Amino acid sequence: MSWRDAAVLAARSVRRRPGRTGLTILAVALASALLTALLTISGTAETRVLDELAKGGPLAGIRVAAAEPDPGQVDRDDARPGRDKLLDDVALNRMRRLPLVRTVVPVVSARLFVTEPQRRSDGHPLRPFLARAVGVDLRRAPSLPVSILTGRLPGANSTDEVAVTPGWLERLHLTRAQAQRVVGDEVQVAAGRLFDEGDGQEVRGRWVRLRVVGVVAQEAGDGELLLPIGQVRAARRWTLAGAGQSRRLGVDPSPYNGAFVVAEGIDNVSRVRAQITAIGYSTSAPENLIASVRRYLRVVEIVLTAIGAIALVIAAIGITNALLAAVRERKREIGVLKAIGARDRDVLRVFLLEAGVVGLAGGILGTAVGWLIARIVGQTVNRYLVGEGLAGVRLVLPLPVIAGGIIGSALLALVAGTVPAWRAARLPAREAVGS
Amino acid sequence: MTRLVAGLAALAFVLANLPGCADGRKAPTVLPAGPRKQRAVFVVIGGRESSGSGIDDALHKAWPQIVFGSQFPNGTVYVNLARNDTTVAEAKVEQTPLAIEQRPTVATVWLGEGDDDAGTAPAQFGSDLRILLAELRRAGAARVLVAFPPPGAPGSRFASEIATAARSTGAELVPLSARAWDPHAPRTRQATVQAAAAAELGRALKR
Repeated sequence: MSWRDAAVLAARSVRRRPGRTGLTILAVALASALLTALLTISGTAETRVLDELAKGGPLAGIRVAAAEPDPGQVDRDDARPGRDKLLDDVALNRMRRLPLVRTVVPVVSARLFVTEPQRRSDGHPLRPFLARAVGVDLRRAPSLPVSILTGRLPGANSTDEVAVTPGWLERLHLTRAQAQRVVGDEVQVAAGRLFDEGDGQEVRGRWVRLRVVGVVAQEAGDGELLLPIGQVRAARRWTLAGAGQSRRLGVDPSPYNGAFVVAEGIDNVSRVRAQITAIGYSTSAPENLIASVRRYLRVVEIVLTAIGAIALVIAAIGITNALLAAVRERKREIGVLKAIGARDRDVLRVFLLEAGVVGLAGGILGTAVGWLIARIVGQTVNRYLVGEGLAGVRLVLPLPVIAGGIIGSALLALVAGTVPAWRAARLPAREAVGS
Repeated sequence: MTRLVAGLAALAFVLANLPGCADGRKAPTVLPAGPRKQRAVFVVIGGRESSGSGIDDALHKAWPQIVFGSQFPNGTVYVNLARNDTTVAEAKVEQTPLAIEQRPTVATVWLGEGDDDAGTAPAQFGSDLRILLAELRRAGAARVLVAFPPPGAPGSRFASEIATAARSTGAELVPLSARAWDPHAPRTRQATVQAAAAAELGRALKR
């Protein structure tokens, strides 16, 4: 008997008992759907939780402050910096040369005087205020703990664009859900510079008018404005060239206010932090927290997978049961097949094909339904999160889950169908026909 | 059976092509850096009329702020170096180097009141102003606008020196309105002068 004949016989058997086949497929589909939905939701939750911990940046990110390390704080995630220390290109290059360091992104900041916008969202006047601007090389944005709430980041070389943080929204009495309202706004800022004037000192501004192009989801340190590094450097140059103490105007003399160092994987964060501490700078990273959360999430994933697996085992028992019933009902047919020359392995093939088809169909249907369930759950969660002014989640169906759902269901069905198929194949022809 | 498999395959295809359900936050996209553009830099050199002193809400109503806000595109750098009672000689040594440090593309110069008070000789005024304007031009300022006071206004006794210095250095003269210095309405003078100057210098910049 050829494969084609076996397939035709298996298909005929499936068509002949649509109710039973349908119910068996449904059992497999339900189990597969449960597994797919659980794994998709748990995977998304894990991504979201870790993303929150890493503030949207790489998990292996380390914040370096322009300060000495405090010996008592070295191993803490949120280490308190020690005394101020200049962070210059020499120090950054030493960090770049450290083993297990993927990238080093310098950060500069300046305090700016803001005169526009003049009104809050509720129409109340907004007095001029001081806000800190953070400047980074925005070409390296994917390495930074920054994600976009709405709009986009400024161009890396732009001179007229700015992104704002949730702190800015708060100042304008806007929620995160209303972030879109500030995109396109004009912001007028000035860096101050002290000039000796007669007996005292006078501050003069270097003004720039910028357009808000996006809102980031995280606070940029204590900054409310995120700018290309060139703009903040120019503002700092203006302030630092003034008379007297630039610190009075919120600008530290350190060439860089900090750096963001990305290690080669989260497992190397501790070693890189120790090396940077040895160079003489204070670091912080949520490594201990991330490790604990990952352990916890792994347990959750195992539990959810076990629940899905139990459902699949129940479905497999259903397949076995259905096929055993089919063997009992089709004894005469098996006998006839054998009488006209079908071998044991031909009969085995027919029943295994039938089991495989049921498993495959159930797997495809179940994976699709599982994805739909996960999407519905995701949309409900997103509605809640957005309503609460938080960023939504992005649901991703991982390829291994799709492949595992479909191929796994088919394989499981084949395994479940082995015993009935074997019994059918071993049935003596005379006994089969006689029954 | 064939129909069942075809249906399942179609369902799988549709699901595979559904967009993600998130409308949440996005990973940052890096825009192409693009070439570094020459940004406009607007510097103001002058005395009391330009410094904004004595004006209510100078951050919004002083003429340099109005001109900066209305005549220049976003991204323009604006630095006001004007100082009360400054003379042209002081502006030459104190304000001009700072202005040149900013590499201005547009500069405005409004001087005369301080020299009126200091009793500067017109010839000396003219000579210092010529040097000041020439230095700004040499520093790359494509446009240097010089305020030309109307008769009766502070600094008007240097009118011919201002005109000569502007002509010899390629600076543009911006005649200011005589109505702004109305002696019958001294209380509104500052505000009127600022508004008139903003309008006239703004018009000149548009040309």
